[in-house]
Amino acid sequence: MATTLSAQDNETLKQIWQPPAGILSFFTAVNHRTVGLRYIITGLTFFILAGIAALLMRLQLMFPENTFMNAELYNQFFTMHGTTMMFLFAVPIMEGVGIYLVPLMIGTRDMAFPRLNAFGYYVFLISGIVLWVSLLFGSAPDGGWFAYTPLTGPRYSPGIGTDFYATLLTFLELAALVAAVELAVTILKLRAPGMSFNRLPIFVWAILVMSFMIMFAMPSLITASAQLALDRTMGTQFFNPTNGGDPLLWQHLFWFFGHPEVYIIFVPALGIVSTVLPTFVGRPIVGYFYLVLSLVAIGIVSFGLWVHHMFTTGLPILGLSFFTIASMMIAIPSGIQIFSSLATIRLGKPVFKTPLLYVLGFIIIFVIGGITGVMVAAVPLDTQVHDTYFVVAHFHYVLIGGAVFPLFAGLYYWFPKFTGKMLNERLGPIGFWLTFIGFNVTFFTMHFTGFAGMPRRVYTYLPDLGWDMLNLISTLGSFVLAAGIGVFFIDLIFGLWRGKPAGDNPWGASTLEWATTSPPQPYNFASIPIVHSRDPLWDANGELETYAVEPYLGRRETIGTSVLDARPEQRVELPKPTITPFILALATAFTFISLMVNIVLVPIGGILIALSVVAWHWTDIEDHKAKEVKQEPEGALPSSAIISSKGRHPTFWWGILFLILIEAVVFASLIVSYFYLRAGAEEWPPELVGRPDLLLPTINTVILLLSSIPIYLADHGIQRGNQRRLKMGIVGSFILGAMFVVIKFIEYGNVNYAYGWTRTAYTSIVWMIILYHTVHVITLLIKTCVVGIWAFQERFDSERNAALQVNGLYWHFVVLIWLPLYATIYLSPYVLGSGS
Amino acid sequence: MDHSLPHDNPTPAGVKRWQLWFSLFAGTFVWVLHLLTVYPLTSLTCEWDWFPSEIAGLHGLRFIQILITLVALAIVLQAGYFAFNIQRHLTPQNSRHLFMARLGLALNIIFAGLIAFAVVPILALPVCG
Repeated sequence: MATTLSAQDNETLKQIWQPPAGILSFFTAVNHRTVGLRYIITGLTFFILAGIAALLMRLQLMFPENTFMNAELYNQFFTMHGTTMMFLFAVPIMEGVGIYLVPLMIGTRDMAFPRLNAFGYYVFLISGIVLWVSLLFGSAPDGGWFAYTPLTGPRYSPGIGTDFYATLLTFLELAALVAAVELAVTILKLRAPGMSFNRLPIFVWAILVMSFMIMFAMPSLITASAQLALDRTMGTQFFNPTNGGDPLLWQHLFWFFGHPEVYIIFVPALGIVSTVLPTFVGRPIVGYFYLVLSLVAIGIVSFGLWVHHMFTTGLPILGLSFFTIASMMIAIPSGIQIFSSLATIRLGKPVFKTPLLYVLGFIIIFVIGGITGVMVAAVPLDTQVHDTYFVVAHFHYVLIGGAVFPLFAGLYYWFPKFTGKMLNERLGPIGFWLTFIGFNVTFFTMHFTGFAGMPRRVYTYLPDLGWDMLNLISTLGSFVLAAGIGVFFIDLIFGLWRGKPAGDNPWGASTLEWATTSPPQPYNFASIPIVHSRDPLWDANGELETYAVEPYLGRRETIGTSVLDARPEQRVELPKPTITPFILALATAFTFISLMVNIVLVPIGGILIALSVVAWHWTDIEDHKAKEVKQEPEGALPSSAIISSKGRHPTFWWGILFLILIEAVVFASLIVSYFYLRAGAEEWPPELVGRPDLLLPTINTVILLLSSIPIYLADHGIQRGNQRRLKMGIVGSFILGAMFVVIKFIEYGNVNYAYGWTRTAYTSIVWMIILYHTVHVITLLIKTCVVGIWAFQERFDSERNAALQVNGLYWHFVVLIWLPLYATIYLSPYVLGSGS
Repeated sequence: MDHSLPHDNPTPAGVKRWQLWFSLFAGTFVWVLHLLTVYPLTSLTCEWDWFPSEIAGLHGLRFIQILITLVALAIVLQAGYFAFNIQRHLTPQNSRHLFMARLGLALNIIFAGLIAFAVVPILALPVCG
């Protein structure tokens, strides 16, 4: 199969992959490079907005008792600055860089789910715009980016500002999760032949680790922000201590996301550094294995640090010490990254172009941030500097040093790939030095401001507290920093306008994104490269072996490979440009905004979402009605399609698997919420509500468990070509699933849970768990209906039945996850007694 | 299957695949479980006054936590041993397998360290200080 395509085939490929032109392109393009660039440009726009907010805050703090802005506006500005930098800039832009580069680096033609990719972008864009528009109307959130309860609860933040935060954050996280699933499946299933895990570029490793971190971390935030939104809009009691709630629950759920979030931003930045560095020192990175180890270790250990944000909340000191250990230990893998970079520079011949300058800036700044990180990991010191400017200095060193400097290095490095043009090597260093000096003047000073006792988030201060000069210096430094960033943006614009032609590989780099033209053709690679080493372009000496995928049937296709060794397995069909992602994003946004504005509109939103999903899949159904899909050319790899697929697990099976992972974390967060609230309650369940009856729920649980059997028999039946068993199995499981839902409604119509989910934290959490699970069962029934229709149309056979496998996988998950929920809600009040 | 492509040799005899996967993931799972057990146990003990009596001369909570830590440590060390043993059976032609085994070994060392360090505060700090 190692051949190349003819010129005619190349032309055909170009026609197939050409994205739409004109204004319509904005609403219909699904190509990864288009979507990736949009993420980057939109992320940079939000970066500018957040930067302007920061400058205005610095102006306010420049002098004591300044009246440049009032406290309300200042609160909104620091909230919007933090929220934007964390949620609208850092994570999306790293994902955007990944979305653009990963397919090129792993030698494939697009992402695994291009429409989902476009959907994620629209969700991100809409969330960001709505959040910032709220500032224009003076209704922006003002409780800080981590929105501690009870400050952000309905009592102390009565306006709509925090509703924007809670609701839009839940919505926005959809975009992050979608991109994470997308990136992970692409990396696992679409790598070029031969690119086994030990040959994966470091940047791709970093994006893979980041994606899994997002999948584990974000669901916790979604749970927390949904609970906050429900407390505010529906009157639930999750965080209200007078009715059994607990404000610290918010902190636990938030920081279980919030600390890994720092590493979610930092890990891809490390990937950028380890990609840029070898090119500018002319040798492979030192310690590839140890770098991968450190990325994986950082990704895992970062989940064991969340309580170090809660050292001053009165938790037992012994409990805190476990998190001190993890907080200090994580410095070891982080240190490996730094030592690897230093060794690579020492053993190579550095060429000090702008990207390398930013890498060096990263090393210096991140080391300082890391040292102060170890300092605040110690409970005694953290207790002293908590909520002071020392902490502000620390996390800016980590986040700006650990993310923005590497990002700028990456943008300088890959700008020729994005545009085919070079940036200016005179402006670049000027921008770097201004940024580096300005940053350190601004934030190094803040360490002393913090030691002098200045708390963060105060809009003004009295004179002669020893803070005046320090604040003045920080403000002056912030303007130098802004000038540096301004030069960077001028360079970008100037480069787009008048940049010199770059050529395909202007830096002489080693990774696959440079094996194609700059900017790449719409299809990335005419023939997919075959990979023999970690530095394919350096080792191949310009003779890259390729694996041909003919443009069969005029479809967008690429190669699907095995997870571990990247052996070719399937031809993966990818969708054409379509407006459905945009429509679905609008429908979803409408639903979420309805939650804030008028709950009556939510069902309309649900209908719009359902219609959008139908439209989304309509083209698949039409495409796969075509008989030709089953008639593959001689010797071709089998085709993977949405409705009918054969061969090893296709990409969408992996997508569903990751969806299940995300869902499992959401359910786990809900169970944790239940037991956390229970642990602090004097009476659980409250006497007014009483313990739940067991008979009906137990019968219902048995019914749900039984529903897994027919779906299992259906899957196995069709694998033996037994259409009758398939149909009977689907019908049987549908009936049992529907019975479960009906009995649930009867149960809760009769028992005293009808007492209301807004009275106590107990009823709030029980209702939330049950409603959430019931929605899953109903969704599953709808899904099974669709699969059932296809089954009765006999679209499946013994070889092509992946859609059934996927449906079965999700069915078993929804059934199995009910068991811990059942044990939590129904059994635990009997087993654990009725309170503390 | 196209063997002209640069793929790993098949898993060599003497290497059990379940051991390879176990060595890769066991450390992570055990560390997470350990943290999610010893930390809430501390909070619950202080909140609900669990383990009021001493066991083997130690506060009940300390005894339970050390027991959990030792079990966790034993599993992680076993996983590390599997990884160490597997890599001895592999050659450079099994580069991907070798990579996984070494990664497993290194991760188990890190997690064994994280778990073992927990003994220090368990013994040194007051239970509900």
